[in-house]
Amino acid sequence: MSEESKNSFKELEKLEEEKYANNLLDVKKKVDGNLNSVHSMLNIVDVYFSKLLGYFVSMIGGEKSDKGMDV
Amino acid sequence: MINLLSPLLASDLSKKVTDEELVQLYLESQNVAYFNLLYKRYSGKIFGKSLSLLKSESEAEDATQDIMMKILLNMSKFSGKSRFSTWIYSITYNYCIDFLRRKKKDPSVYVDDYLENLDVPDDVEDKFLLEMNVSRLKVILEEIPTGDKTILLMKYQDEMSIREISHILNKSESAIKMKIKRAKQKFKKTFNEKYKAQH
Repeated sequence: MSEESKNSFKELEKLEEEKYANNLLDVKKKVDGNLNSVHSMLNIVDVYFSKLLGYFVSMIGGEKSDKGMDV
Repeated sequence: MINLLSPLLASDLSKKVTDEELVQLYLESQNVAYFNLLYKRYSGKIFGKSLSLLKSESEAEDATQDIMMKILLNMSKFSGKSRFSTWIYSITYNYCIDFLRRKKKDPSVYVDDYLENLDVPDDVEDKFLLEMNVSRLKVILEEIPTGDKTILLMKYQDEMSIREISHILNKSESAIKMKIKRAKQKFKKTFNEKYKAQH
């Protein structure tokens, strides 16, 4: 029976979600901004880390490998 | 660069793919579209819980933003031992409890219960809470202390097990059972004070 599965807590949760949908649009914009920053940072690390590592290796007298340095 | 899935694929994915699969897909591809689907599924619930505990729309917005970023940055730590929803809600509850503790906004979340008093009357039936009129439920949840509200939301809204709640709140299972019992009693007492006199 549907009465057996009634859960007012879930119903309340759904109603609140609908009521505050607009608040979430603002939050989404901010999260997107943060998300872009995180991914940009990861890209920067990805691109320049191997270069920096190569320079460091050559500075301490190691052989600088071109492999993985070309981006 | 950020890849976006086609709307068709996204809508298809949003229906068929489980949370755990989306996590895996995101971790393998770093494609933001997978995270966006998780965001769509959970941001409303996270905001609702944050608002319910913090009682301020602007603080709940900030909390939702912080929690979503926490989830994103810690996604690789999700072990899959629990449901993804439980993992997300544990981050949400702990964030809100820490926030209230820091601000000392609500003593009921940082002062531990009087667990030594084991003289507990009969249980309040689950049915009493689950079948309550939604607007009355909302009023009573607003009136009871935040600590009691938190534990009732975990049990009845998020359908967490005693074991899951005990992990999140870092308490023994018997302590959690006692806290739930007390929260239900407080809930019923508040209901009686508020509505019983009207009948």
